[in-house]
Amino acid sequence: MNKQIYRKSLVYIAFVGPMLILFLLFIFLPFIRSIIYSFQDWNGINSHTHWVGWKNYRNVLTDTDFARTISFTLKYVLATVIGLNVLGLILAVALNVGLKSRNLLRTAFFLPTVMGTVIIGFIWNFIITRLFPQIGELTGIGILHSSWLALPKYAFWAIIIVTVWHTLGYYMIIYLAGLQGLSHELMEAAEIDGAGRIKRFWSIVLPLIRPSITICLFLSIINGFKSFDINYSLTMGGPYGTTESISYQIFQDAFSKDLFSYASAKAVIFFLILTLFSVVQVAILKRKEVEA
Amino acid sequence: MRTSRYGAGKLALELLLVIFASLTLYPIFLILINSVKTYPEVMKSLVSMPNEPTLENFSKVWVLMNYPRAFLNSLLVTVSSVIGVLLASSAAAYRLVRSPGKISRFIFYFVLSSLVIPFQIIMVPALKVAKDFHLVNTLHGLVFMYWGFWFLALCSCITAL
Amino acid sequence: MRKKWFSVLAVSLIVATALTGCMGKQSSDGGGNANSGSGASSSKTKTITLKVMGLTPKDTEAVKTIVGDYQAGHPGVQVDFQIPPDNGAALLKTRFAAGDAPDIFYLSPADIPAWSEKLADLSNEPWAKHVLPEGIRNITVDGKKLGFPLQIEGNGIVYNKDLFAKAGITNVPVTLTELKQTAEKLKAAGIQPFGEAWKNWGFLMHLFGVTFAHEQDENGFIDQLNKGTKQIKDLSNINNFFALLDLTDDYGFGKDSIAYDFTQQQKDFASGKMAMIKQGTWYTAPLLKQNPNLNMGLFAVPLSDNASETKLMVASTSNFVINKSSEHLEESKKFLNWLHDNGQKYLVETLKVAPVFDDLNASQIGPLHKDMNTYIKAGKTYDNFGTELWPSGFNTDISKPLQAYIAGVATKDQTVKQLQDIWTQRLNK
Repeated sequence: MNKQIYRKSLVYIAFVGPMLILFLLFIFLPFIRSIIYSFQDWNGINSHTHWVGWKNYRNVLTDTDFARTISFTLKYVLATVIGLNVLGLILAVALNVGLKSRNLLRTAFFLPTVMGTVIIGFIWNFIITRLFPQIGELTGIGILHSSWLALPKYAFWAIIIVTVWHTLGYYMIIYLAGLQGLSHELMEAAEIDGAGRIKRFWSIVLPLIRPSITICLFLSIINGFKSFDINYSLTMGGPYGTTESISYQIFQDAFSKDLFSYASAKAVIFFLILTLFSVVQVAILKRKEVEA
Repeated sequence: MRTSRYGAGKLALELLLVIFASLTLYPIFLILINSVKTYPEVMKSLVSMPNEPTLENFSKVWVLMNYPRAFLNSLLVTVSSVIGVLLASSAAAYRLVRSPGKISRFIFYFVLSSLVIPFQIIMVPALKVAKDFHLVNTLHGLVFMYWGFWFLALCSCITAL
Repeated sequence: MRKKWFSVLAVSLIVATALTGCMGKQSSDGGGNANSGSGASSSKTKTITLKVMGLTPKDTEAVKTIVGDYQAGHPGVQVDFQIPPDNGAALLKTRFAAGDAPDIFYLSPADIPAWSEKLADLSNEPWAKHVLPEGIRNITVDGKKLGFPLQIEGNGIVYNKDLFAKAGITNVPVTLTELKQTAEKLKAAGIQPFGEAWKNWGFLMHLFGVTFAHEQDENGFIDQLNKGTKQIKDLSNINNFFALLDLTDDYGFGKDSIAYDFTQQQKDFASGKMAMIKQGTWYTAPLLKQNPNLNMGLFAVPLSDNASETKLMVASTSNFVINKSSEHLEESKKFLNWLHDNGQKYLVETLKVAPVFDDLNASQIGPLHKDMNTYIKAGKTYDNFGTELWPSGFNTDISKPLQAYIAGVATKDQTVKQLQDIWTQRLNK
């Protein structure tokens, strides 16, 4: 009896162990070290540091920049999660019916995801600042006339558009994979029972592709909270810091401003907020999932 | 789903998607045409078609960056990371799902919560830890290792979800 | 069962795409590595590798030449020269943390104090006595020379001489009032006077720095700011600073200037879209690359109506420094000595920078350097950009309130108060 338990736990360790060791070494321990830094005054350069207690945390809480960044990041996550998942699902559904050019179209929508963010920032900068006004002039669409990157409200949407353009392909592919796993028999049975297209979509397709939805929501939320590249290459956080994401600000603090400890404190606070968020999200989604 | 006939509705949908796809591809098209233009031409206009397409930019990058070697490096790292990550994470996820219980759940949430730590802030400490354990030879390698492990955690979670 | 397969597919997809995505970034980043591994010829003598980090991607070809020549003349020495893609500070700190610290690296004057404990004292190097007065202040910490100044740069207003002539302007303005009249004349002639790239924080930093450089006792003023006995609003030219900022926008892009960046500015100025930009000698190469016939010049920023205060800011802006705990300290010093000994060839001709040494001559670099030399000869210079003694982080942070001011969402008083708050905050962190 004992031997069996012993063997069972050995197998458990053999399977889970490697992942856990790597995780502890490269994510957990470094993060503990960041937490230690957050109570010191390390500038990222010196070899000597001092303990400063809660000073960094107190400063973060009175930092209006940090509050603004959190609110930007939350809005950004909300907009990209909706945009990516709704559009991704619509595209996947549209590309799952028998269109002639569907393989070409799938490739086309997936292509932006493989582009590097530096060049994306450069080319979209040009499109937004130069082509938008020209198109606005030709078509008479007033909204295109505004200087998008100079106005906070527009700059926000510029980032959303570029993010959605850049990563829509991933989500489309994941949804598509989910849709292709649906069984034909089930759909036919529903059709024979007299369920219409829309009814079939809501009552059968959506519940059955719940795993895809979980993964896509999960990925888009996590990636949204970690957004960094597009902010860096498209707006540089501007105009006047209104499009600074949390990761971007932490990076700036840690590396450009020699405030490594301060940045660590921000990261810890951010981590606490997000942990709460993720746990709640996963708990809700997990409960609703249906096995086909 | 029965494969229904190709009717007017599908044609309209197809046209709509082709237009949308063209819009999606336009920025990439811009990048492509500018890569075969000369510098003054690029500066004159980003949207114009190249007058005399040239491959000079490509040969320059090829030589200056030592492109073949860089590419080989990337390829090796990608392939080995993907294999390593898939093995470690699927093994772990398999056991976590098969033996539900307090420990598994704890490990799952523990790993899951790490996904939100901004990479930028643990980059430097991660390097220090790696250095202490004599795991680094080059920075380049480590950045990849790091990314690998991040995705490892991500994948374990996704597979377990 | 289906779910399992599906998960495997999803995971492979994500890993592969994510990794290749990050690959693409890396390979473009790694682009600066100019180390020509082929030249190693696996020598029998013991080879040492000198790790150098610095300069910017535009110098890739020049670096290749320099490294190749140095290796050819110094058998047994390999130079691994890494050019950071954009954020050198992040890469530098990461390399130090990983124990892969470079032997020689590159710092701006404002960064030298923070890094000083890591830097070797270079005061007794043979080139040190040749450093021009404009370069000394920025490399000196506690009386020790810690840097090899790579270049001096002139910081002022770059103008298009042809457009000035077209508007009938014969003399460059030396007071703020004259600057406004100049802008007025240009406008009357149908020429856009200014075109500022206030999206880039670096240029706003330069502009605000002018106010500090003009302060009579700049060091004393900064001391008092740090002690809290003086405030940003006590800068003698603080009102003129805002007048100047207003001028560049009223006669330029207005609020849109905060969405306008340096690539667009270089393109537009080179093609004659506007007559003046607040820039400096560092714009020579990019402007001439786009328009080799551009007839341009450089004049000092007139911040007040006192013409005797209008002097060109000329200072060393980038320095090579040596890591104190380098394994190859002597070899690193040798490299810098060699760079100075062959300065005419490698600094002036290959890297095309204006050297900060009295035994080198750089009048041939371009029109902006020619004007800078005229100011230097006339003794009408400030030896700094006004930004070097700011607390770290102040330079990037002030761009936010200043952009908000330009956009019209904050008043002058609010902006001054915010600048003061940032100063205080940065001191306390």
